[in-house]
Amino acid sequence: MTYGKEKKQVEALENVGLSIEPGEFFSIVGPSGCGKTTVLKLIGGLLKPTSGRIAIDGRPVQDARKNREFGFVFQTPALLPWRNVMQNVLLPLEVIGENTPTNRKKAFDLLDFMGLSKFLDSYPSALSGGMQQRVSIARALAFSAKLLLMDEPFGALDAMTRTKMAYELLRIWIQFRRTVVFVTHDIPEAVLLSDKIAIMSERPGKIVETLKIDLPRPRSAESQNDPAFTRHVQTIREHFGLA
Amino acid sequence: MTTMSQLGREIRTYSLSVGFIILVVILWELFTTFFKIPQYLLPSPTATLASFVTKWPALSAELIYTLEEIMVGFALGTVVAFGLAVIIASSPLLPKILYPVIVAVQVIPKIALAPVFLVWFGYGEVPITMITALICFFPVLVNSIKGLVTIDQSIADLMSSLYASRRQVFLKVQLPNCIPYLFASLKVAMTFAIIGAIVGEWIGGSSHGVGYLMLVYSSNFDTAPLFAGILLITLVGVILFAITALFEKLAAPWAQPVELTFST
Repeated sequence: MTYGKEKKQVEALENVGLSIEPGEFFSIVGPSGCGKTTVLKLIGGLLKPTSGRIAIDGRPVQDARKNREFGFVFQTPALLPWRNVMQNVLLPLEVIGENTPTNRKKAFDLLDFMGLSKFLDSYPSALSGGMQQRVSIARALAFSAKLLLMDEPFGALDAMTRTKMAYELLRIWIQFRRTVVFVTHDIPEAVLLSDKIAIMSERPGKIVETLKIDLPRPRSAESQNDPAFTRHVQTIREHFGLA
Repeated sequence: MTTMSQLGREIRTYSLSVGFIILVVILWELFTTFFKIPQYLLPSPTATLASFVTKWPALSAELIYTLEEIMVGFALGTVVAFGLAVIIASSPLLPKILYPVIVAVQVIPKIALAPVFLVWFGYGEVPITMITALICFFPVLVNSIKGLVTIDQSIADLMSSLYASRRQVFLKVQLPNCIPYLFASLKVAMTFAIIGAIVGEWIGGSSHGVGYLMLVYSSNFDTAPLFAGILLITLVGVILFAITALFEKLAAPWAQPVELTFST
């Protein structure tokens, strides 16, 4: 599995070959328990592969982790309950030792852009699930991470909030243009957001196919009316025997 | 956030509880007068209160000793327990080895070790303070370890993805995560400390303290002053518990109540 400018393909899990381009929104879609999260944790260096190789810009993932190149967003917001919104977003900067006035201003602007500026002093427990997840995304964007790793970030939200968050993520991604690896089991969500989608089969996890999504950017809720959208959703559904 | 209606409901619930207590006291008063219960068996609330006032000089003089045992024992037991918890939790392996052992030790009624302390520390305030420290020690140790190691997996992953040092994980995650556990256990330890001091005085052969005074009253069938002693020690317990609870609110305003592991 490779990521970056190099295009060597190396296997992880059973036969997982991925190549993700810089600046790309890349989704991994598959049924529950197929190992999507494992792939994401391997990319982020939280798990070590038993065999195979993963590279970030041609370097080992552990180097990239030491460089703080990964911004994780988990299925749960994983906010520190004793820190308010602003303090949670500043956590990575504190850990890295870059909690400078300039970066704090940037973090504030980011929270403002995400509609959170009124909640800077709120504790996470006072926020809704959707708001908490927004803070979690802001935290991943608030420092210099090049790669955003999102593990079913909307999985714990209700359907309506989930859809809103997907639109919000489109808006954020256009603004910040990070490379994103996005894990989901929601097919329309993946099609709406992604440049490429890797389709994973059930355990042992394998990448069955990687699809290019040629919906024009910038995308919005209306992109779902595009015939190409329906076509892509249909193609992926067929892979899982849903159509 | 507590809204006005919630506050109103809380006040209503509290006033019902207070009303219930008043009702019990009135029934108790009526019971003792109506059935002419002898005072050495069960003094009436008014007799207890009267005795509380007349015996106040003796009670308050002895209270100083008991309070000292409670506070020194509490401080010693909890500080040592928390320090040890930090040491144990800073190793990845130690909690796994020791936690089950410590939980198992919970089964031993610590107060049963009191006679051993008499052998080790002689008579007087020292063994009593040590008994108090011992029974404060375990709830704080167990729950502090729990608070230091029970970290949400995603938060642990987050810190790991940021390549945070062990020191950073300890200071930014483990320690604040432990605060609600620590304070919840301090409340338990505070009530235990009072038990430790009183029981310690009963068996410790000390000639001081409210517990000692209660023994004297008891052996003289001086039951009303004995009840005054119980009333005093109850009041002390309520006040010390309230102070600890207040510190908890100040130290961890974000916290949800945590489930505790403890036994006497």
